[in-house]
Amino acid sequence: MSAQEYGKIIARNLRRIASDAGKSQADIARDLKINKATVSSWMNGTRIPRMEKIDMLASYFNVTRAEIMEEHSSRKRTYYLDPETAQAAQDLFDNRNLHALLDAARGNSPENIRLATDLLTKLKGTNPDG
Amino acid sequence: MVKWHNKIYTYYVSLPEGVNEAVMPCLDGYTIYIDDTLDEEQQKKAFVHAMSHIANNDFDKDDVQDIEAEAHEVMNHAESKENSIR
Repeated sequence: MSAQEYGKIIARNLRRIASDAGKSQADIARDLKINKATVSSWMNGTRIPRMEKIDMLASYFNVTRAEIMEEHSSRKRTYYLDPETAQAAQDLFDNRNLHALLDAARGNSPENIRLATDLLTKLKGTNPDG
Repeated sequence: MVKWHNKIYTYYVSLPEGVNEAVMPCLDGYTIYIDDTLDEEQQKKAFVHAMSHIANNDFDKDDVQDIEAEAHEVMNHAESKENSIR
């Protein structure tokens, strides 16, 4: 597993644990006296916390190290019912020119998400706010 | 975090079936597209959904399934809370 993939697993776990505990990134930074940018980098997976920080986070959230460090695929949350629709929505989000999120029905078709992607591409080219 | 210098541009357009709203970063803030066929109440909900993505720093995250699961959980929770007050 690459460091990038490992960082994403830790980030996903931290976001879920923080969400369950009702803690924002600002709360964590303030309570643990850690720079906000550092917390943000852990939560978006661009940096991996050192073991002492993982222990600090585990203690803060009252969870085990494993809860933070290991992949919990069974606990992965899903919204879109069709994996192809989920992939179309992910492609739209990963599109560097658009980076868009939708409020779309769970059972929507991948075609509708792709239509939305095409439309947003056209709209982005015409709107003055870019 | 919503920064106060971020501008929010809102447009009403016809979106594909089952898509109520789209939100994306732009040069000086965020652009929100809302489906113009929705009624006023649905358009308000769509706008709140878009703003929740901005306020929740969802554009710094990476997994859309996780982002949307959380956003809809929060919206459903807020709606059930609102209904219990009524």
